[in-house]
Amino acid sequence: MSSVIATIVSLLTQLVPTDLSSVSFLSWAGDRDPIYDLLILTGPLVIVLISVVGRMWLTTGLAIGYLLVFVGHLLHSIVTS
Amino acid sequence: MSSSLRSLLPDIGRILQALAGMMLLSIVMPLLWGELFAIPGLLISAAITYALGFLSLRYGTRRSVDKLHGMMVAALGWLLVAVLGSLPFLTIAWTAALAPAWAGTFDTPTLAAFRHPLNGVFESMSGFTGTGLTMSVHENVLPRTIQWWRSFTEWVGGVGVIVLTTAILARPGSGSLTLYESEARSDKIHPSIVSTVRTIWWIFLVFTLVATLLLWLVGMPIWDAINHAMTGLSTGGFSITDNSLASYQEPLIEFAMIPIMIAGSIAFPIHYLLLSGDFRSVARDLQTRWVAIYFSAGSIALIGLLLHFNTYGTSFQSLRYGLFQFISAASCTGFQTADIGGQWSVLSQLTLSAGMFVGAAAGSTVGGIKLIRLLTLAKGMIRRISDVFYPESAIRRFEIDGRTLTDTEVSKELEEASIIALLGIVLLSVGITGLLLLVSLDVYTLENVVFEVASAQGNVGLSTGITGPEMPSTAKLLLMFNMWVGRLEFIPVLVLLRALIYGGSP
Repeated sequence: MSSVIATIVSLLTQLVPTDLSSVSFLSWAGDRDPIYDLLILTGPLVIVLISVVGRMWLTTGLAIGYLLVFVGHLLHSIVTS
Repeated sequence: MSSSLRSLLPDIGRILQALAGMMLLSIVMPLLWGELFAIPGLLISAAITYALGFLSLRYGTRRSVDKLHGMMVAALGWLLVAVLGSLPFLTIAWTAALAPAWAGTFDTPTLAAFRHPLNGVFESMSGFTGTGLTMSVHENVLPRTIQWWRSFTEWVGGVGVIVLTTAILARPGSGSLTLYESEARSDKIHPSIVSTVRTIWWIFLVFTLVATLLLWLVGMPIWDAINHAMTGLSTGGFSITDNSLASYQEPLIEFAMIPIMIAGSIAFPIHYLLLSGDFRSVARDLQTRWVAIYFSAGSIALIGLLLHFNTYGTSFQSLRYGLFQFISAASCTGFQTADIGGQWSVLSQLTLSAGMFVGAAAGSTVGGIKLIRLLTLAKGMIRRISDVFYPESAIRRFEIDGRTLTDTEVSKELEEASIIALLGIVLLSVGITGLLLLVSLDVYTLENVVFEVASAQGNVGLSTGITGPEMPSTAKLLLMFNMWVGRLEFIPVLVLLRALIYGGSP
């Protein structure tokens, strides 16, 4: 399970620009962790999708995935720090 | 106009422009929900606020920012934000009543209460100070735009109006640090204050998104989840349901809200360390350790009292309500799931009152006198007593929060903690006395009144039922004063009042 999450995170990270400071808000907020930046960028999209299509397996999966990425990355940061 | 008052205007102007920006941003809501009657209200509110901000900038005179200036800006700025932040309530309440049918009418007695300006100012003060006491009888029938505005005021107010203004409009070296500290904050994340407040917003956004999705996953509708994530994380406590979180009757939602309220009770620099993976520093932080101890001990005590007085039929119910309500009170959030005024024993109510008076970590979104001050006072008291047992020549170290303090620093810290605690008690007593004179003691008891004032001053929002649109106007003004002084930790407001009465000279 954790390797699947790691792969998904890795793929998602590759989908966004390496230098996230090109996105204006993130540039405004300064140089931060790219995974959290990614969560800030994708979070509103997930919420909009939930608002539009409602509660279904896809949106539930996305929300669970979102939380797992957050918790997983937090734990990963703590372990590797 | 005196020169000291004119020198406040540029900073006040920037704060008002940021507030106008919030109102303009909120126009998205009536567009999304088809509440067209709310658009003119928001536009008028934004225009008035922006114009006042513009005039303040135009006619103010800039001078170097010192402590007096910072405190006066903080106190006056928060007061004006509360007053002008009430405009959307007032204008939307009127446009809802006057709008033609095609614009989507939404007039209800709950909304009509906001046609009285004082109710709107109360709601706005409660929102921006993160208190959560409300003039809405049935929150669930409010237009979505008003629901959003209430949540938005708490979300912004939780972090701080000056933090918002500094993040958006400040330039480095413009005295932002003094203003930042005047808003009851001290710790910095980065050497630059502008960078610090922007990081605070970055952390707040990450947590808000996570909290929203967590609440949705445990069963809240998405609109409810967005609003409750904003008001839970900012430890504000406004709800969009009729009966706060009790409306859901769902233990899972209550348990999911607990980590969100706790997150709001921990200082932002600690969150930054945590997100950076520096768990060791987080675990070493005195305030965070004491938040954990305080929340655990208080919850256990309250659960014990509920079990002892057999308030609920089962142990699970005592655990559920005791845990949730203590975290809600001590984190100064104010979400309510229990009938505290009607069902709980006097001792249980007073335990919650004590939790509300103290609050949690300084540098977070909570109210109260803050745990660190209580700890400083306790350590100082122990030191004074044990000093007697040592020879006069003995050199003793005083450590708090990992810092070793000199004798002068010890005196300064103790003096500050004592003054804040004493002012807290004095202003609480003033509020209690005033409210006792204003409400009917046939309906409410002394412990109800103590609870309500402690809730207002601690910026908590739990209520025994005293607060509502029907309460006397003087009582509303009194509770608003308690919210205002509580949010700014007393001194800036008293400094402003002193300056208004005697002028800015020493």
